[in-house]
Amino acid sequence: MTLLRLIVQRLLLGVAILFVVSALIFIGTEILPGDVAQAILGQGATPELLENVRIRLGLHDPAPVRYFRWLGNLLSGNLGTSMVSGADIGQLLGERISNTVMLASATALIAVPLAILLGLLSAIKPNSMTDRAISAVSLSLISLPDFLIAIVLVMVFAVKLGWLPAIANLRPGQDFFTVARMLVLPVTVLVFTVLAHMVRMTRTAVINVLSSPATEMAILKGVPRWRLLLVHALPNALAPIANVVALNLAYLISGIVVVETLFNISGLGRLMVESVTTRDIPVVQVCAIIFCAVYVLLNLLADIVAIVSNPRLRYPK
Amino acid sequence: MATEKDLINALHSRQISRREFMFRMAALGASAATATSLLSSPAYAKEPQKGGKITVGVEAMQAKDSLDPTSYFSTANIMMGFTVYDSLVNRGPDLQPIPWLAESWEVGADASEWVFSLRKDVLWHDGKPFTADDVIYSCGRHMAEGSESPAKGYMSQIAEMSKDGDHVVKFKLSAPNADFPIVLSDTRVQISQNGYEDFVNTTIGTGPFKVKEWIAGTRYIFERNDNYWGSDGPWVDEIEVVGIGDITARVNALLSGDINVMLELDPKAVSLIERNKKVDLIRSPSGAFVNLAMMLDREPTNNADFREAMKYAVNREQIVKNVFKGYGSIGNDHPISPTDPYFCGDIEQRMYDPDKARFHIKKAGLENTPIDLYASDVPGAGSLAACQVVQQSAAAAGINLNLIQPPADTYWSAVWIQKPMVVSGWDMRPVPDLMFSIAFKGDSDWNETKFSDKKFDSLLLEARSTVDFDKRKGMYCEMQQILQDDGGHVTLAFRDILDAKAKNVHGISSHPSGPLGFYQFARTVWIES
Repeated sequence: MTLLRLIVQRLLLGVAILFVVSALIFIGTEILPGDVAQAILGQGATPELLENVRIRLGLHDPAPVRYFRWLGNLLSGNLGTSMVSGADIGQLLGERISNTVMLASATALIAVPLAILLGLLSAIKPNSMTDRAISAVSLSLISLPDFLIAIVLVMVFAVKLGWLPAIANLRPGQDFFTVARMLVLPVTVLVFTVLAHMVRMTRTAVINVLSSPATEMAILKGVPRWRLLLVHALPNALAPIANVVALNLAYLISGIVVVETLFNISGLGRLMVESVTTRDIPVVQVCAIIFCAVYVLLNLLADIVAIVSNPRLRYPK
Repeated sequence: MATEKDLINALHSRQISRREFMFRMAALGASAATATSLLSSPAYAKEPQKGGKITVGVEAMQAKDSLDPTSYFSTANIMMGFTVYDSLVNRGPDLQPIPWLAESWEVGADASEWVFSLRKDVLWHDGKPFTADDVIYSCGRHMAEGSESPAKGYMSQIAEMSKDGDHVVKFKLSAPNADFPIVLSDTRVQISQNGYEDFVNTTIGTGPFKVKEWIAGTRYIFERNDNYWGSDGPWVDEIEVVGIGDITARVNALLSGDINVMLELDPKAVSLIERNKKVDLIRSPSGAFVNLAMMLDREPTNNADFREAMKYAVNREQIVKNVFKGYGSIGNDHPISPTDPYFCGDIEQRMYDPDKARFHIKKAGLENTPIDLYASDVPGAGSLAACQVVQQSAAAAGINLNLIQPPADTYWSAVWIQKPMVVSGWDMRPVPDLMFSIAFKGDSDWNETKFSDKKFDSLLLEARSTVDFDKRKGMYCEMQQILQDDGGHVTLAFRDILDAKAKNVHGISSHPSGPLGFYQFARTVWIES
């Protein structure tokens, strides 16, 4: 019952947050110098041409009018059209969402189990050689900028060895093997960038649980080491791990512009950055709302995992 | 002077005949045996082959890419336009107009009436025949009320269009213009089908390729038009255009074979291409240039001595050598390049002279005073680095330049023609008239220096109705001198257009007006299997 109430409460709050975010993004793009007419025309702009574009796009209306017009359309289920290309935003998003989700889920499928495994290995014997090696490698990987890792990997595996393609030219209808080959390098770079954060969090959370009186009791009882780790420690450490996994997943959906650019993947992050440069406000707004929704939902999911995994939270006093 | 490699490239792309190749190799000092052995190597002996797929790497795929000829904004976009459309008049490597969809034209008495006869064997991709209505419709879209086309300015000289049967179009101009056919070879004046308006997901053209898939910013695929009217191509089955934003990633994609043609190479990356045996550089000397634009209507650049000081404070040779890696040539503070038949050789070349520069900056009272120079790579690769070289060479003359790097996305709207001194860049225009009227005529919207000179403007109009070449060249020469003396341009360099391709790709010519054979490589390119 509490769980259901929490979900409803958080979803309602989430919707409120989406409104606030959309208003903030709108104000933000209004503050930026230049407008979509100047972005479309570039060096070719003349006062007359600018005027023609502004009239066509209704840019002369005051900002609040434009905001609420957009909001009204959205509420009636109309995502609108791109000011720059005139294309339907729903269509613009379709393939990009699937590319981004594919990239993010491939990365998550590898990174999350790997991070938890490495975190547990580290936690078994803190400060052992294994622990230090895992920490050193994962921290070095997160310290190297992703574009550097990407370029080095491409130089070695695509240019010198010729094993893998240098760009991921994704399109619908490709077979699994082709897609997998193209995704190897970008997914590797992404795994490297998100791994350390999750490894460290797992390690810390598990070590915390392992030093609790309950664990000592279990050791005294003679519980085997693997059982102690998997059945006693891990479930209790699940809440913080779920949180950091959620944050990293949200990052994978919204923040991988560099990898998308370097490997030429048409994804959501790039769409948003590009739309900001062209001041294509309707597209920016929709992207922002999607990213915000992803954060809200993943955080909610992390909280649900925390509650389900912890009976004390399920039955509050 | 062309090098052996240039000649081989030219032969490769059929710009020069085998005979001319032998002759010019001999001029370079190569023995006849060497030249003959090069000629008989398989690549030159072969005829173009059908089939294969070209993947072109370009700088960006963006939502604003369009198949509407009135909305092209980037080099890659123009190139895709030429893949599906034809223009009425094309432009040769010598910058002369050549018949294209129009097979011939005649000029009336005073160059204000033009009659174009159209080809009768041209079909649209949907099978309809191409007629005069299509031409009138396409040209009209640029001039229409509410048009957003950057070509509106010069297309508006057309006062009236009419057809005489299905294959003759008459243009009446508002004033004489001896260059009118070359205006119609402009990259935006491509011919689309009469009545066609919705360019969002596809289009119909007469060009060498049909649209197979077009999703703005995501994917561009074209397939061969087997009913193309021309005879030299198209050869390849499919052309795909992919945008790879990062220059290193783009070069890597070429080296790894993921793309086999690359549009516009940054001079910085030339050495990567030259070191690799699997790829070739395509070099086209061009009239495209990078310049400083100093505005004549505001402080401090309205001071003639300051401008003079700047013109002497720029080390042009160093910019060409270090920034453009030798792929360019020095300028002389007017927009006409030595490749142009109207280039005036009599004007003395201005050289780097710190003493003269110091004399003028002192006279202007601005010695060691910090002066803002807005620098960016937006006008073209290398322009920021060129400004950094200027900063160094000017410092030696007591000119203290403060380099400001503004955000790229509002460079054209918030910096250009707003700030007194900025770096700018121009593509080559086919005739001096277009360059002069766009960038220097007193009332032009793109007059970036706010240059205004009665003598200059009247010479410009006079030259338009002068058909005699020598007389006209005399006028243009005088105009170049006026700009060199009093104008607000410091020409930093004329830059070569650089593209790259895989070794087994042939049939891409070099052209001074634009990359990849004036954007039209799609028609002639072929792959050796």
